[in-house]
Amino acid sequence: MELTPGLTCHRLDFHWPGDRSAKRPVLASVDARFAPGRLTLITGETGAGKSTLLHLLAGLLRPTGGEIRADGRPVSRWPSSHRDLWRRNMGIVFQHLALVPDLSAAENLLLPLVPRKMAWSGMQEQIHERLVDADLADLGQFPARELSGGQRQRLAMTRALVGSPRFILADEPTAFQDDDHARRMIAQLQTAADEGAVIVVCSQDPRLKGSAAFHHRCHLASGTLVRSNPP
Amino acid sequence: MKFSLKEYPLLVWAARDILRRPGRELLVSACLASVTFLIAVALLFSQAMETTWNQLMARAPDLIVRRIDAGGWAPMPAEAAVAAATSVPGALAPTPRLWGVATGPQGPVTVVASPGVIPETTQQGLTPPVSGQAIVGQGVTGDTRDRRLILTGQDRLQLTIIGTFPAETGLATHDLVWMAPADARRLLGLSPGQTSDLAVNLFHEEEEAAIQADLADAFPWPVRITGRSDGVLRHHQRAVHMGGIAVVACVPAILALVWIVAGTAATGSNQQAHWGLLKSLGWTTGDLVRLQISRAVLLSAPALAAGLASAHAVVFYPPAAGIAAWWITGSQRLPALVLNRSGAMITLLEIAALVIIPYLAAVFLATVKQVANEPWHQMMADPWN
Repeated sequence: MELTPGLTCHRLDFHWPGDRSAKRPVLASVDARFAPGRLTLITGETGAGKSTLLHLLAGLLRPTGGEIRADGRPVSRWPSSHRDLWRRNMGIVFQHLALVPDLSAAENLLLPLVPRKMAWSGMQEQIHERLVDADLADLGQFPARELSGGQRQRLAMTRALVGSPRFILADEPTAFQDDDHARRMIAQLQTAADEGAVIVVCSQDPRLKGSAAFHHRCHLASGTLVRSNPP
Repeated sequence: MKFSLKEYPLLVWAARDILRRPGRELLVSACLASVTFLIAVALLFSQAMETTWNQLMARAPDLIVRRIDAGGWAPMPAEAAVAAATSVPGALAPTPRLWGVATGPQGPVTVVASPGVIPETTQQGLTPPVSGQAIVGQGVTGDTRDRRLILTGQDRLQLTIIGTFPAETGLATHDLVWMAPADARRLLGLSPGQTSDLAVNLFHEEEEAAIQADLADAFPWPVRITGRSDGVLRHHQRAVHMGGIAVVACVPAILALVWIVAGTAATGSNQQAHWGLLKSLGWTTGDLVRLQISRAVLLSAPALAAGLASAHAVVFYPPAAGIAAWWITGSQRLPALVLNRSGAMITLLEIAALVIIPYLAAVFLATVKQVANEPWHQMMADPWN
């Protein structure tokens, strides 16, 4: 197996535990490659398995068959302790956002930085810059629960970007955004891709489907991922 | 688990995590402080009693020789007793002592007349009493303003109190009355030339048992010889007894600790989703364990300090010391206790074994058990937001 940069799925299978006899697995023999410097959009109907695919790519779940390689390394086969450490290269936007509601916006951004053993000054600087980029500069001290849905979603996106991870996975990142903020979020992802990050976005948002920023588009249906043409 | 300067953000985050639930953490901290206090009072008291007693025993003579007859204790001729003791090789500086028991206003008191009975440190700053005067211990008279003291023995004697022994010598001087030799002889019914007993020091302490036999043979009348090791042994037995009582007294405290430990373990199950999120953001199991241990240390260190400081105040400083003595020994007549460095270290190690280690072990085991799952399953364990 050659050391391919980026994230690679090879004959990836997944079904939920106890669901082995089900007619249709969530993912069946998925082959895909997500290259550095490229933005990939994955579309699919609700329940098609987009979020599950992202969770598998992020190492939060283990595939029931096949493997996932990150820069050529078989991360899906690694023991938990190795994958925990590898996940520091990952930034993820959850569909349900998964912010800590009682922590302030700035503290939510600290969460991925604390275990990276950075200096406090460096962390503060990065958080401030990211909050400005996300149009949240005035809300840094507010608890996450007091932010609006759109602000919280931008905070979740910012948390994925802070620390400049190698792999960025986003699940419906623009669902609550107006057009202007949606464009700004795509631009942020484009900037990260230009710096060499691997970007995978799962969305049904027509604004993303129509965006020219994405280099690749895939459609997930019946457990299978197929390349689709740009509109 | 090695901490370095790079753990600084983790420590700050641990402190922030404590502040997320201040009420609950304050309760845990208060429980830990209370448990530490209860256990530390019992352990400090027992340890301080032993240290104090050992210090007093170190100043006492190696052997005490008493004459006995069919009626019990009997006075002996001082010159003949000194001559007999001097004839025994290894027995040094035989000193006749004049002392006995009389009845005072608050009950029996120990009457002494010769400086040999009173440790030198006790006498510092006090002028030896002359005829008609007395220096008394803290427990001899109930009313310290009344300077008159009436004692009854073989005769009735009225003395003027000219001073009291320092409180820190209470273990040795609580019921002591120091008076002039002539007054003591009159009160105890001793004629001139007679002594109550003979104090003897030894050239080698290890020869105590052998010299006791030689001394008994050297005296022309029956004697009872008491060694310092007898006193130490008796005290050790008493300390063990008190230690047993202290352990029983600590049972509620230990039950409280079990409650805290169980609560700590249970708390982890409510944080599954939070830990799953942290793992999805790049925290490892080691990071989470370090975070929880740091949190536990930050929480327990002030609680332990507060518990130990309170226990120290209750054991060593009146009037709280009297309450502690009453609780543990059933008596408020408490000597001023002392604790040396090794005694303090032993107590700290015992408290570490009883409080700190079980608490940190509970935090460690609960955390390892809870964070070992796959992050996705942990995140789904609790509803979000």
